[in-house]
Amino acid sequence: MSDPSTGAWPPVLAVWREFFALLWFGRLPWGEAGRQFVRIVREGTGTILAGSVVQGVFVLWLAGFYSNTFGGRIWVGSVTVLAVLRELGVLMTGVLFAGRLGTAFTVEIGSMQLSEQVAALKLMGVEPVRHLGFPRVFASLFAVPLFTVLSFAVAIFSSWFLMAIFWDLSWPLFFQSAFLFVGPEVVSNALLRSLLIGFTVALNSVALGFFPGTGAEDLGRAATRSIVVNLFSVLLIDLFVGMLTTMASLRSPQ
Amino acid sequence: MISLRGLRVVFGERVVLDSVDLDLPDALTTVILGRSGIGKSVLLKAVLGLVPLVAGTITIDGQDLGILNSRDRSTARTKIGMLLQNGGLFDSMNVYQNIAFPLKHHRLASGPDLDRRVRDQAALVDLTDALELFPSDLSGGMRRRAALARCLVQDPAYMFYDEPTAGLDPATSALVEELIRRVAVERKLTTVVVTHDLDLVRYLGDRIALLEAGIIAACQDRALALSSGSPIWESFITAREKIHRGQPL
Repeated sequence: MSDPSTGAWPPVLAVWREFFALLWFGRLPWGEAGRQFVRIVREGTGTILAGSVVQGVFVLWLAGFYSNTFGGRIWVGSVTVLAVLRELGVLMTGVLFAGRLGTAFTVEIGSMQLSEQVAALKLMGVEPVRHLGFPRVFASLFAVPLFTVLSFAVAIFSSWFLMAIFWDLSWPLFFQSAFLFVGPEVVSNALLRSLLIGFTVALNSVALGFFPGTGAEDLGRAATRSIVVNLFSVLLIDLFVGMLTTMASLRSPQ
Repeated sequence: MISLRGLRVVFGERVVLDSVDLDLPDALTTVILGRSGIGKSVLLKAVLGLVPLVAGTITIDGQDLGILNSRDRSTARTKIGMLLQNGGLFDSMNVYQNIAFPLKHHRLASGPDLDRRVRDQAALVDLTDALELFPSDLSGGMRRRAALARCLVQDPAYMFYDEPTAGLDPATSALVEELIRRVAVERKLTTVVVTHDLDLVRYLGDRIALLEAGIIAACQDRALALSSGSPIWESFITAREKIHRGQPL
């Protein structure tokens, strides 16, 4: 039980600090992390797939419609792939992950807090951040990049599929230019952002689960905070890492 | 023995414990009485490090927790088991897995030894037939007994109980009381029970402490306290009758 008078943020920061402090000693619970990974993939794949199809429709509308209207069909593959790989894929995966699983982490740990399961762990000499936090964060580190790659594939394919239906765009025409402007830096940038998003969203969600409160209203507040903080985290990481890596690539000699 | 000196806990502006001084002698059962919301549970949680202290010292077997580093402090506290008000059973595990958890987590036992120790504790609390059940399938009394088995499997030297009979029917309460007494006697445990249930006081307590206004207002042997006629004890013991008669407390 935390001191309920301290507000939400000091305990959240304390969990972040404790997470990094605990990394340097003791066992890392890889077995439990594996179980969490399977669970995240099982629970999150449907949401990511559905979101990626919607993403494909966005791109269809933005790239396909205007390219078709103004006679740029040859570039529609490039525009679609760049839009998905540079921006939408990571962003959409991050948002969906935060909504579907980040909030689930917060509520899960929060209800364990309310039902004194977290206190029971402490009484048994078990560090709750190590036992409950590490597995979720490590599993997310692997799951979010995996979801991002899945999202890329589904969004690009669904975009092409719809373009083929609506505008009779053939597979060769779409894919002959699709990866023309995709260098390794685009892919590594996307994976770096997805790793950071996975880590930050999972740790924020876990930290907010250890909220200082005693009732259902506090749990509701923690869940709301979790989604808001995580959405902003996703947007900020996407923005800043995107900006920094683009600036770095512009400065480096070609 | 556990000694508490000058324990102070503050939640924001509210002083929950002002300056608590209390000794918990070995192999005796001390019952801490007090009205609801007075800070009895907070006192136990403060001793166990679940609530931050503003001031005060806690000494366990002569070891001052204040001068230990956090790992040693945590180790010293594992001598204490605590039955939480809600039990704190892990709802994703069945009773067997709950009882086995501390042994498995700390790698204290495995294989047949683990199995034997879990089944021994389950037999002690009469839950041998409920090992496969999950907490959601258990009644209130069974949950507390399962949680008690999980505490006892770690062989604590001290056992704290937070309102162990709250919300239970009289028969189940009596079963839990009997179990607490039996465990305390058979294992020679130093036991602390926090309650406002006077029946529990009469049945279990070797000593009674009264928590009022953030301090221990009195602490005596049970027989002395209940027969003393002192206004401090009387104010608590006769409160119900006075309220029913419409008299001021």
